[in-house]
Amino acid sequence: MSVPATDLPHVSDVRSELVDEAVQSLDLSGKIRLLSGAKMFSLWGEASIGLNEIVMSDGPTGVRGEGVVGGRESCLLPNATLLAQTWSTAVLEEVGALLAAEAADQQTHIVLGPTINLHRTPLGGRLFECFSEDPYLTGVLAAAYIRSLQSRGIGASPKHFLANESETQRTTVDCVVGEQTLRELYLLPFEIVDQDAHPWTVMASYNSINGVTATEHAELLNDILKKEWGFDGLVMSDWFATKRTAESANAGLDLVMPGPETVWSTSLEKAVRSGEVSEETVDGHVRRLLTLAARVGAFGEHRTWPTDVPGPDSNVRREQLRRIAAQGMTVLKNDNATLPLAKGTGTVAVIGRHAIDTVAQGGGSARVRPPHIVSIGDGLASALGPGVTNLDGVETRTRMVAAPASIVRDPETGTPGMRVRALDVHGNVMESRHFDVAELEVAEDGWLADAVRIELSVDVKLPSPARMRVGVIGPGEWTVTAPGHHESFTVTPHDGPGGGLHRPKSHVSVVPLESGARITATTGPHFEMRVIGLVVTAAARPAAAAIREAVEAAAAADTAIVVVGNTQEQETEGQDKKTLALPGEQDALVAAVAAVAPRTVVVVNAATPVLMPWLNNVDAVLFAGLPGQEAGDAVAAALTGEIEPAGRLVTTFPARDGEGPAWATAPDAGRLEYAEGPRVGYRGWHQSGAEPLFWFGHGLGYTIWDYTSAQITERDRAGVKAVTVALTNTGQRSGNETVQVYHLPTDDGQPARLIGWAQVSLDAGQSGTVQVQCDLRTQRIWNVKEHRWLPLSGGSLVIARGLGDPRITVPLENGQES
Amino acid sequence: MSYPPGYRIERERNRTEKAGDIARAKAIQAAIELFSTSGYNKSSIAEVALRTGLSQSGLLHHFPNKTALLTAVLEQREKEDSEFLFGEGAAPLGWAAFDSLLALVARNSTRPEWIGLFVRISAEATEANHPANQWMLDHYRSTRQWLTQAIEDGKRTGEILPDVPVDAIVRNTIAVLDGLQQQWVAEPDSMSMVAELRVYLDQLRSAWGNPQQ
Repeated sequence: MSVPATDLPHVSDVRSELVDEAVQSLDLSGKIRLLSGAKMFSLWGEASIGLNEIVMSDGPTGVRGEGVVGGRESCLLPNATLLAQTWSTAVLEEVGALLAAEAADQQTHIVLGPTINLHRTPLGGRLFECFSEDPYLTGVLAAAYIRSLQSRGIGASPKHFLANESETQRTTVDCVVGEQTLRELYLLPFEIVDQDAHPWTVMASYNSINGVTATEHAELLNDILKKEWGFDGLVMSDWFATKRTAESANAGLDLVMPGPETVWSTSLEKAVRSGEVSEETVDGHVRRLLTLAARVGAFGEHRTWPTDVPGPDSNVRREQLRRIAAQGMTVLKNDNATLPLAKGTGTVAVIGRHAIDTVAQGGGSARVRPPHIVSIGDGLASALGPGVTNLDGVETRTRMVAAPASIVRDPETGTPGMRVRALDVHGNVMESRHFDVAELEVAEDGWLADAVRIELSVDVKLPSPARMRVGVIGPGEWTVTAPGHHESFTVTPHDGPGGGLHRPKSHVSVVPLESGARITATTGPHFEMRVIGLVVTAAARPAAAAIREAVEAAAAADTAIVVVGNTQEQETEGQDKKTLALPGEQDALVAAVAAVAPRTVVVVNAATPVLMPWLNNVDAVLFAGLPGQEAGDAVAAALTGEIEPAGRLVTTFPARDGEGPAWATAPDAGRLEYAEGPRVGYRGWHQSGAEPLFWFGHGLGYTIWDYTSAQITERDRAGVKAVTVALTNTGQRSGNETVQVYHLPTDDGQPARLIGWAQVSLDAGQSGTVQVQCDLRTQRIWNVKEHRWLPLSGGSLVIARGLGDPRITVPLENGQES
Repeated sequence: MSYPPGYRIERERNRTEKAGDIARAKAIQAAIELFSTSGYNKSSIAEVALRTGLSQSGLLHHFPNKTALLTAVLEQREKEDSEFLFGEGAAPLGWAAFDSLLALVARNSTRPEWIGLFVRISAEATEANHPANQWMLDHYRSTRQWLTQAIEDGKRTGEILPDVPVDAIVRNTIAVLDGLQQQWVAEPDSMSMVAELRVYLDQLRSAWGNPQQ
């Protein structure tokens, strides 16, 4: 599935004599200055050579800008697994184009992503940000995204290179991975994007790989990425990942992030003077940096920025984001054609915390401030009309989040949001600002840097007096006051980089409040960047009470839709899960509703596998991902069938904790052994003969597919290049099918693998044929003795709707043309 | 479940918790996970130690044997059930208490290993010298206490008829709960405990509920 790269800016497009000239005109310190970030998310300009500042933003769920919270509003996309569940390069191209426009609107040159680490164990906290457990699916989808982004002049940064599949001790862990596994699994997505999309940058990870930390890994950076694959872009470090100077500079790292002060800015010059690093090496890094700058329009020809980008809440964006999210949603179970819900479907009880507090995105650096989030409850109410009742469910969070702007007012302006004041040592106000949201980022170089105390205040807006949880998020020592309430306490940060920024801890107490009550929190200085905010949320109810009400509502309705899911406590950067069980008492809620409701539909608002101990007792399950800002409208479109939720799973779901080829993420004495080798995800499940809850590739959609024939139509000595499959839509509705071709080698040591897929849309009763292009890069074995690829021949091809539902088997004669 | 604690305010954990308490808590958690996935009989102290990151002798320092660990697990279960039923507020009384049982059974139906463990242990623990004997007696006593008060309260508010046979209903209800669990463990897919219990509770309500309310 190699794509011609003629339309892509290549090194040859960048005038190398211009780069050489610039390099020659700079002295050593001038060159070295450019090789560290200027700020948290930007690079130095250099007027003498016509180099402009380059701005980066975290991605890929949206272009956030420089601040972690409280920045400008921007599009919040469906999360990476939901995008990947479309299995559609067209969708990923559309996403790339959308992100490029968002980036351009913020005058941002590089969007940090996509994240193309694999789903090795379902416990990985950051899987929501990674595409799938399959290296080929991941690589192809990521390549489409990168091509689209870069063809619009915005750089991508596939990450994290390499073997960063879990978060526990991520900055220090040594991932021990065999050479064959590295080649066939973890390197493959990077190899595919390098060949098919020519990324302008790659980001090196925090962890070590086989004893060498990623930013110093000469074999990976210099030998494989740059020399063997011919990568002509720039390698940057993950934020604060670079530990040593000469070792990283010599290994192939080109840029240390973030700045301004880094190990390179303080000691690379000395290392060159002492001969530890050659000046030619430095020049090489600068050349790659200037090449990148030329590509993003910050060097040579300077770019212009568009002024007519649609806003994040414009109709065009809302339509796109709703459609893409709904398309990726996956029907896991649908007994008796319960879905789609027919018009005039009777009374519907929508039950669950996630119907109200819909989780639209994961936690960590990918966080975006959207213009709105349509809750699933609201989306269903507007789609299904007056027969819908919404009912809160059980608690799902143990860490509180900042108060929604709808229930807090800035005491000075009376408008939604919060007042933040910087106080000096005498308690005098140095500066006072309004915030639209009840949280903000406190940075060392920001307006609050000199404050002795920071004061946050809101007036609470409530329909009636209520017992509320009142408190703060964010590390620091705090004093919180509300009418009749005063307390002081300390909230601790997480360890590691971004410990004050991501998934901040909370502290709350239950306080009876009336509308108009003033809440004030003050905090002193803190040693690192942090996110702080005010929490105001209803006091927790016992789970049994919530379930009791749910049972009554479900028994009285024609259909119960239970909305359950994970929160940013599970789907987050920086921390792995310990269980796949839904948080809180959500399983009990579903089981109780399913026991009494005439029909039960479960909507799972999560990015990664969850356990479903109630599965046998419910009628239908829609796996909805973290759907982005249009969440509720997308779920409604999927449940009513306005848009077919034609997603196919991108990762295998275990039925119970502990099952599957890889589970624990805790390193042993600092080492995390990838003991399952190449048997990752469905490959391992298939080889073990064990039955998961749902296979990679599973997804029912809303119609029925009959596969009638399959034959190999193109083949050479290296493997199968194309398979033609005939199929019929025998269901009642038009539908979209993803035809998946797997290779099952004869040799038991070689696991099954996806080698190609294609998509087709057919009306009810219609037949068609589809040609599935198969990729030779999936049909080879890395020979560790000879350090080279050998073709993988023999065995059979299986056309399957996930390996749990094989439809046609085509034997492969060993090494022979068929 | 145990009788609910008084009103309390949620606070962050005390960070000065002694290291021993933390190790103990970790061992209990590991045992819960292990018993939940492998069952009680197939689990060994050595496996718990491995998951806890303690040496076997270190674990034995906290728990002299597997049964002691089991007792701790059961206490943990009590605590979780109590949290589930009562949260940080007062215990539901009147019919609401019986409806809460429905929620509890729904919760148990999603934890088959838990129920299996409970059924086995409560059978063994009827022997007076069994380490879980006291736990079992406490379990039944506190449940009876709560349900008794629930009915008395229902009589007071008038939602339950005054001539209700309180003790019999309390003991029958516990018998139905335990009996359903026993049958469900034997044949998990044969029925829905929640639906069966709902039938029982509806009968109870129609027999002893005040039709005026």
